[in-house]
Amino acid sequence: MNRCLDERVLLRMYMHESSAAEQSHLRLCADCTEHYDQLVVDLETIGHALEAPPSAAVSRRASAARMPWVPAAVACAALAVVMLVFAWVRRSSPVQVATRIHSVSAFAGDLSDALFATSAASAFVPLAEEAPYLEAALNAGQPCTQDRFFRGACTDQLSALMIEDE
Amino acid sequence: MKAAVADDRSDYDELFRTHHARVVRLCRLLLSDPDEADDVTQEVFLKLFQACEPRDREIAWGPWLTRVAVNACRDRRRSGWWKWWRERHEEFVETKLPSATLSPEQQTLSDETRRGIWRCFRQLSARQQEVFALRQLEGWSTEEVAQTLGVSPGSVKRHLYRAVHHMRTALGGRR
Repeated sequence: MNRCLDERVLLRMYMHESSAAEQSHLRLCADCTEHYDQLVVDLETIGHALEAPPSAAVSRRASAARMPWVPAAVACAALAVVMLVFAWVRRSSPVQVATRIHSVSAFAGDLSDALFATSAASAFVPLAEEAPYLEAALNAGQPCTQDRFFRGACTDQLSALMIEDE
Repeated sequence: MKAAVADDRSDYDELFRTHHARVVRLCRLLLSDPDEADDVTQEVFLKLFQACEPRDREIAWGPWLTRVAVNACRDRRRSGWWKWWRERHEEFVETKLPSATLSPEQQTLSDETRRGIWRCFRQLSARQQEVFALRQLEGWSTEEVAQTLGVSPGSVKRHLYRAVHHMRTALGGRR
């Protein structure tokens, strides 16, 4: 074996899993011996560092564990944002706008019918028929009939004539 | 009956004395959070207490404890919905270990190196951490590690090589 040993073989050697040929090469090759010695030093350094009490190299995960409210607060904030976005999207969705436009146009149509009705009688007769009685109820008196009008008990001639017509 | 219970207790106490420090160290290595590591260690020794009761069982308790600890740490890592948040906010703080033999400059360098190694170890995959801990630090054979982790010996060697290469690269940058 003339080729120098790579890191993988050196690691295998450190783990006592190398072949006899690799071991004999290591004994004869100064470069490989130097690399192997460096590997041993590195592994011992790593081992010692990791075997030290973790409290010596404590991470700020511990501080994260001492603040359990942070994830909960983040979750609540995210939920609030989602609800706001949902409400905003729902308010300005095309369906809702169409519904609102439809209701406005329906209201405008009703208003137009009421204001500019072609059959004035059908639109105003019920109101006119009830007017004397409504007025009487509001004034806590009796409706103004023709008889009462001529006796001078009331002054609403229009109501008196309408009631008599019925 | 009373004597049997006392024997069980003494067995458990003996196992606890022998293995507790090692299991704590392994859990802290695999979890890095001392609080969680202590929780998992308690779980492991509770399982040991329950498993100790039938006295006719012949079990190698050392490897058994290691296996249970590794599995418990893996379960703990998988659970925890804030795992991402915690892992992304990891940052090592100043070490407070005094040293009588090193100068302040050397001590600072040593602390820096130690923090770097720990940080580098955290960057390994969970499997690489387990393989490195069992093979290099616990001194298990490749076959034992493979059997415990349920992987092939070749896979153990690959994970170990990648872990060592990664950590040596980081260490080399500090030399």
